Amino acid sequence: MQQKLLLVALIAGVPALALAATPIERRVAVEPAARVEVANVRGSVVITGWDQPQVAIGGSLGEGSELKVEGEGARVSIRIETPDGKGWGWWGRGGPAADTRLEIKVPRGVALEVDAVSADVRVDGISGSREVSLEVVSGDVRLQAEVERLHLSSVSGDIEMGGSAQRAELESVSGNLVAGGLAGEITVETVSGDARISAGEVDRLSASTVSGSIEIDLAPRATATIRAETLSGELRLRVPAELSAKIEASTFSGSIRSDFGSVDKPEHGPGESLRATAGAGEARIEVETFSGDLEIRKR
Amino acid sequence: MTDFELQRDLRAMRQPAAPTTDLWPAIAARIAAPAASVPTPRRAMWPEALAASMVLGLGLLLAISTGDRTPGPTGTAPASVSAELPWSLREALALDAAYAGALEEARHSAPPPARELVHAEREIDAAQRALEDALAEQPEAVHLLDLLRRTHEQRLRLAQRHARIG
Repeated sequence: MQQKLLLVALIAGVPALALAATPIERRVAVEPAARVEVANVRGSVVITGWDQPQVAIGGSLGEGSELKVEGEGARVSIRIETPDGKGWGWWGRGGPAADTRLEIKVPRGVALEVDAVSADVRVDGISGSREVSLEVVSGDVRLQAEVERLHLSSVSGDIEMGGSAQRAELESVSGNLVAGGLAGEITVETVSGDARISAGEVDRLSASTVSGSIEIDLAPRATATIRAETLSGELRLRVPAELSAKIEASTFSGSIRSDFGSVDKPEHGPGESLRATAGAGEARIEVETFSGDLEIRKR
Repeated sequence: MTDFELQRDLRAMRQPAAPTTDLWPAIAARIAAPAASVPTPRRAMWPEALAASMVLGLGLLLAISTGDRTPGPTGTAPASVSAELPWSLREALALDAAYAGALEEARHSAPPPARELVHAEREIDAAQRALEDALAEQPEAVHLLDLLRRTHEQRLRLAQRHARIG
């Protein structure tokens, strides 16, 4: 009986042994504002800012994967690849059989570029960085950073961003976007994903979706151009009560609700439009939907 | 040359996503023309809408599947048919055709698409069909052309990323 139990235990343990993960421990000396590039197909990528002039790579390497670290000083590349160095077909085709977890510590001011497929990406503690670019396919992204330029792209994964960015490009196909602390120039594009954006003072905003909903809270600067459009998605804009802007809004078959101006409805047929001047009318706000409802509210 | 240097050079070669013939500046100028700037909601007669929708659907299907490289309003539909369409629908056909060429180019060096990309493509297909149906119903809804262009751009960026990283 004891022998049978031992045999069962051994058989049960075989798959676990075959997919055993290998601990990772590497360190690379880098400059405070170095460029750090990271690529992982599946598993996770966790990047944390710290106050040392080093990149410390930890975590665990999935079976059949190889960690490739190249460069030092001004630029370092950290990639998970096949042992023959050819890499995988990304997008899940012929990819690794096991997850690799990357836990990376970087100087807070580095420029980051992360490519992932189904791996979730977490970034925390980055500040004073000139650029952060994160691209995923189905993995989720959570980012807390103070950065000059931000690029976040996902296909179906959700994106959540906090901190601050002076220029931001956020895009997804069906993933949802939630971002706070944006300012300056902002571009938001989804196909069916929802976008919820909270921004400070903005010079230019371009937001669009086909069927997702868009919700934006922002303060347009005097010369700002704010433009948002949807097909069937709802569009909600929240602005300061002391807004100075010319507002144009129209929808073909949705409805408009606004705290500024009054809505024109044609005598016959659907559709509504609004033209209003708030304060001195310095900034320009243009919002348009086809069938989605539209709302412009004071904070 | 190390792998690292090779990757850097490849990244430096990234081109902005754009069709070979960029029709958008001219279309944007026509959208911004005073007559088109304030849309007047109006119902299109349903037979006209149905016919326009069918032409656009055919154009989109042909453009996506064959990668028609001929830009221009008549790139994906018989000239006699497209000439009858409102200008916004002809512009939609032109966009379909122009981006199809760039898409075909991006797909040329890429491996067969995997599951995630197929799902994303379907999502974009459905969005483009919805946009073109709406445009067929209301040709005055010219802001939909901008949304259509953006979905084309997004599809192209996905294809380029797929080609770049395999």
